[in-house]
Amino acid sequence: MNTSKNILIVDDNMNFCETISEVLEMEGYKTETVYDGRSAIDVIKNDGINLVLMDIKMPVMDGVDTFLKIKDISVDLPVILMTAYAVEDRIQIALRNGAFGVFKKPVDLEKLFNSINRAGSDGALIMIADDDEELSSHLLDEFEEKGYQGMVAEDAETAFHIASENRVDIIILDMKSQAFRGLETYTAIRDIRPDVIVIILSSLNGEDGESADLMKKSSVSACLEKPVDMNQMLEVINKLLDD
Amino acid sequence: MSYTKESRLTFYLLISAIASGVFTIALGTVVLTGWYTGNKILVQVLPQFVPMQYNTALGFLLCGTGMLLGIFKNRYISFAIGILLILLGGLTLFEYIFSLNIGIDELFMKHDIVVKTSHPGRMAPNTASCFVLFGGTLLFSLFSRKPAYESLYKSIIASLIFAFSIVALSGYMTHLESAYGWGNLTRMAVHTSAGFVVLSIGLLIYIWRHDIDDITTLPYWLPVPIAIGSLTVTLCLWQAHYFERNVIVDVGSNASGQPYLLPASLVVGVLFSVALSFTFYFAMVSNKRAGKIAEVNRNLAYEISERKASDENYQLLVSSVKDYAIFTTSPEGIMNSWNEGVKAIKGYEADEVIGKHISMFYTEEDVKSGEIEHKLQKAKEDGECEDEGWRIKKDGSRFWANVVITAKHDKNGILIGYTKVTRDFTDRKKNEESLIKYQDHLESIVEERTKELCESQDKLISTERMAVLGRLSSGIAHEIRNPLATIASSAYFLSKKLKDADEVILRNIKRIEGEVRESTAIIQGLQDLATMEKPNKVKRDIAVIIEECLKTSMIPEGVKVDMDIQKGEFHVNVDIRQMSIMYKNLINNAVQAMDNKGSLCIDAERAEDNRVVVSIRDSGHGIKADDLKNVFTPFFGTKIKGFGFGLSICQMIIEKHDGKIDVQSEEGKGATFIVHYPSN
Repeated sequence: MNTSKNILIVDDNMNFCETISEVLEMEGYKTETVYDGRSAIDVIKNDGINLVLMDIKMPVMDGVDTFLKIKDISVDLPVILMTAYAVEDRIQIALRNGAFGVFKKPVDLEKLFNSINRAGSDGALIMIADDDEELSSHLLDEFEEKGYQGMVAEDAETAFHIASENRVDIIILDMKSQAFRGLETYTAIRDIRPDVIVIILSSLNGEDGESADLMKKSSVSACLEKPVDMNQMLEVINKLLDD
Repeated sequence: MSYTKESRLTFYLLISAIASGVFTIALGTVVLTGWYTGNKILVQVLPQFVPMQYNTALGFLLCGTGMLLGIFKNRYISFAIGILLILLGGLTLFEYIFSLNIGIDELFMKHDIVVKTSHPGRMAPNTASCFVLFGGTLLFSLFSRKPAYESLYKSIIASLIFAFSIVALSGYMTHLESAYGWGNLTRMAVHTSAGFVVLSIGLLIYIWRHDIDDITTLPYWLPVPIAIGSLTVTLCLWQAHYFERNVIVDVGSNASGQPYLLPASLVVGVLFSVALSFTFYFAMVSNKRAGKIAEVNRNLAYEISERKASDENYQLLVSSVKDYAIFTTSPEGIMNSWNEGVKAIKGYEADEVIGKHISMFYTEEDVKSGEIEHKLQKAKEDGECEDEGWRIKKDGSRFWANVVITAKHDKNGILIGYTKVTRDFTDRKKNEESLIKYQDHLESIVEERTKELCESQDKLISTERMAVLGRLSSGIAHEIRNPLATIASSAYFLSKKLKDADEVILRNIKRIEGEVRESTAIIQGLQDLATMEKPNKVKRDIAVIIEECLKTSMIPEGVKVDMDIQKGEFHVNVDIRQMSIMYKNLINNAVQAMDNKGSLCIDAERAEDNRVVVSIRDSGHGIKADDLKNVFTPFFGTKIKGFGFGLSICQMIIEKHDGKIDVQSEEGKGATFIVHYPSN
């Protein structure tokens, strides 16, 4: 836990600000609270903020506009957005523009903490979307050893949620398993994370129809055949991250 | 006709009257000329005759002029002339009566011819009287208070003048001097008497002409002058004979001396005049009556011919009418006339119909039921009977007739027959019937449409209501998320801060967190309801989708799950997200009903048309029979754990996929939800 993190909380609902602040401070973070976008930008300009937790629906300047302004000031500053309102298109804009994640209220605090942790870390964030438990845990261990951060998604929905709550760098997507609905999941995630690196795992050497399609689109960075050769995997990842 | 006859007569009369006037003037002028030129023949005619005196001639001149002026309606001058004449005659008579000589006798002319003249130049007394009388008629031209009587008086005067003059004239003819001479006084000259005859006749003619009317050619007053005239003649003649007889007796008689002859002849004469006048009167009356009758007859004949003409016209009209069958019948109903309409409508010619009974046109039922007699009777009583019904044409086909039967009575009120007017209303009836049919049809269509309209309106309202509800609840849901977030956060804080506290406290906090999750789920359900979009359909294996839903649902350990759907067999076109929501709802619902203990069975099969049918069976508490039909109604809930709208969402989803969902259940024996997919 990076206890030196200074988190800026931005929400027009004062009660919510207070309780989140208390919770975060209990976890060991430092917090600052503002109630509107304008004030948030002023605070950020002064430097010292490591992470921003911001509500989307606020009067005058909403969370998404504020985020975009923040991006101008400090590109790398991670911003996690929260929302009571499922304003889909605003959320999409935020994610596509590199918001770290979007959480729906009431916030699952455990997940939030995880995202906060990952937001601060230096290692690449890799999501493993595969329902093969053994493989997944194996990959996870390997990644963590190498200093990467890993997360596992057992089905398409989870994969999508993780992708929206965390700015994953790499996704390893199982095309074979029906549970993942390959193409659909890919499309959905690509929609919110246009820059994410995708490695697909397929059987039959990429000859099943969907994998071939994706390969053709050339937005997939690599295609590995199952059973996975760990070394090969790590090699590929390294290469991709270096680029 | 009578007009021209009449006008011809009047013309002749007028001419005659004018002629007499002219003659008189001529007479006067001629004699005056005779006096001025000393022409004795003009004055005397025969030497032994008394001459016409100068004044007489003058008088005639005046008379004639007066007459003509009267004819030509010159009232004032003729009136003046009348005055002059009266003066002339009156003064002369005055001289005679009082044996005076005023000096008028020889005023204008010295008379050297004095044959049979008592006083030179003095006219005969009868002449003078005649002038007075004639002058009197001219006075009427200005004074006539009672025009009816004017003619009468004038005619009497004329007849008197005529009487005197004709007696005088006859005296000349029969050498009876006392006829034209009174006593020893101046005699009336022969041409004087002739002149007066003409004058009086002319006057009578003129008066007659004046009084001609349409009815009789003879004037109404005629008997009177005739009576008076003949009486006067009688008297004058008697007087003359009487005078003559005395003279004869005085001279020396060898007369047979019949003492009764003269008075008898007087009596006879009087009676004769009376009889004559009465005869004339009656003749005139009957003439008048005859004239009247003739006129009436003429009028009648005219009317009859008119009536006949119009009758003929009428007959022609009726017979030529084709749109109406019109004919007459005897009182028993035997037809005695025909018109074109009978042919046109019923198809019969005249000879096929005349002499036959009207029942030939009626249907058998009508004939048997006595309808025909009933109708005739009704017409007889009420004067008219109108009705509509089927009639038979010559070719046996039926037509719908509109019939009016009118009874005809003579002037004593006895029935002389019927008139029947028939119209072919088959088209009208057809139209009426189709109208009714259309009306009914229209009514039923209107009913249907109204029902449809109401139904769609209800649907619209409920859809609207749902939409509004959706929007409303969506808004509310969003709003509630904020406070829920705060609660969750505070609960978390407490749970962390108090992790060493006793169990009860921790349990409470857990409860708070649990309820927040529940609330969130409800809100999510609401929002799903509101944002239910059109399904984004893709072909998928339903087994896979259901499997995944089972995985991501929180199924307690006590619940045994048995999914028996063969993979790869059941593909459906569905929106994955929506299907997932639906099955998750169904699974949750089943789990809740089982109270953490029981069995959940899911299987699929093919129905007719190859449709996929999925059933989810639980062993929970089941659903009461009364509640079954309301299971999918939003917000319908029993006390313990309401159905909320999870199931209504399921229904909405499957219906948006053109499928349907059913439920079968018995209380205490679990429930089975059956999802029907549409045929691909």
